[in-house]
Amino acid sequence: MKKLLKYQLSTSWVTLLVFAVVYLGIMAFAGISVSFSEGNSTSQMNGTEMSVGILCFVIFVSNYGDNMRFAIQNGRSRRSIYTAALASAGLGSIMLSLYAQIIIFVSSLLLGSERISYTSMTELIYDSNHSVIGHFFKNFIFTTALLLVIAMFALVLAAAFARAGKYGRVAIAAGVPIALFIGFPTLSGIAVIKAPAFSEMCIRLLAKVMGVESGNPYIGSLTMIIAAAVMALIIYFINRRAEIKG
Amino acid sequence: MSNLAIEGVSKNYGSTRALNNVNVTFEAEKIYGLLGRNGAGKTTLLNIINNRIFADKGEITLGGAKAPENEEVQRKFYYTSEQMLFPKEMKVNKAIEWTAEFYPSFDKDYALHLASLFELPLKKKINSLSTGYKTIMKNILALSVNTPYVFLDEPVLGLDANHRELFYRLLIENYSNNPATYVISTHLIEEVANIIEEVVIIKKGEIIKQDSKENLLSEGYAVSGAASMVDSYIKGRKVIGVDNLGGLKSAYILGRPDNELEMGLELSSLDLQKLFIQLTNS
Repeated sequence: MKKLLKYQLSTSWVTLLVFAVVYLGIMAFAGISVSFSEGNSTSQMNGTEMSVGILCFVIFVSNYGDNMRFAIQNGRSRRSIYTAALASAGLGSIMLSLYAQIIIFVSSLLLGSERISYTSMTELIYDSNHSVIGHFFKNFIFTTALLLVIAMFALVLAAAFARAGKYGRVAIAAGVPIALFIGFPTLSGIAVIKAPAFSEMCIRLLAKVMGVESGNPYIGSLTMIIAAAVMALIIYFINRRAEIKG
Repeated sequence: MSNLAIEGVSKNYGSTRALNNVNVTFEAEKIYGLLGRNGAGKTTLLNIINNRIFADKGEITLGGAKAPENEEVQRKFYYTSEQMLFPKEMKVNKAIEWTAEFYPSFDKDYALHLASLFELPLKKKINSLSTGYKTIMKNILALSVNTPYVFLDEPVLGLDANHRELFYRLLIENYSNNPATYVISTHLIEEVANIIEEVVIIKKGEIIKQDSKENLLSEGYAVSGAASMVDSYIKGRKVIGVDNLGGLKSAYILGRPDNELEMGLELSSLDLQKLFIQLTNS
């Protein structure tokens, strides 16, 4: 498992490096542009966690199939592939979360000014006001849980894709974006009009389980960790009988 | 090293039966030829042994230990197939490094030596290699890995005559220095006939023969001559096939030849390819 994990992590470090350089470049450009512009308007820079989240999704969704084939070529079992995938998702989430915190911190330290501030996701969602260390810790935990759930979702899709036949793959490739970005918003929109009470209940439930209602990001983190655990179980069942396709 | 036993293995792809109750044993330190026509089930069998796909029925064991999903067993196998399971963007030298990482018995220096013999470009991406060089890369890994069982599915696919000869020579050398079980699945029967010791013939998903090459070839003989003479000779004998060429005829017969043959008839031993063709025709 250790060797598989080492291999999986080794395939991503270049991506991370390129991402960091490009991201810091954009942040610096934005910071300098605002600082040297005329007027008194202020600007808030955020979205670091979500961009790292997308990076995390792309890394896990794109590498899983290749990793599985390579592991089988080298005599590894599906159980090892599964545990290595989970370990790399866990370790990857922690590392990427730390990475996001560092990017926010470095951006604030080097480029932050009275006119531009770099904010984290927990500040935006939970409006939290804590000491620097307290805030760092809260945002780190929340981002880690968020990235873990994203990584697991990517692994569910990748594992299903690796196992599926020709038509299954088409269904996943076309069905998931349609379900997420067309189906779900459309249904939500219909629910708001046709069943406002139900819609209201769903929103309240979401706010509750994500800790938004109580202003507690740890509740949201716990919910996301539970969701990740459920997805880990799904991946296990998909992965255990997955065959290598030609 | 223990024997590899395949017992009652069946596999279906939808309504197509790829393997039907396959029973075969691969003994330690022998070179096997796994022979069969296209679609006979050779690759399916090798894929099942090497944990790439699952059998619907049956068992595969190495010294009593189940092979599927068992890393202890799978680490004793190395399998190269037409399927490329290395990431396409990986460079050849990285493929060598990573194989060495996963297989402690892998001889990296030997692999690099073979790479220079075959003039395999180490810094190229696998994806950019020609079919022949992809095969060469896989063969180099297989020859350097030093596992007790090595499975080679079409190991000379895309290789020119020089590289094929070099590969066969290295295989024999390697086998002499580090005996292991080699299972070679190929269509080029004449080329491997001198290398293999044991023959497994698979037809329509079923094993129809498993024996040593010597035994198999001594099971029969060929008689050639004028068609009418051959026809009269083969009456009452177990004929496995005939070839006609103008007025001449060759018959392939199971059993022992008569001590004395009628004038005009010529006796010869069966060759593996002829025997294979006769056994797998129809």
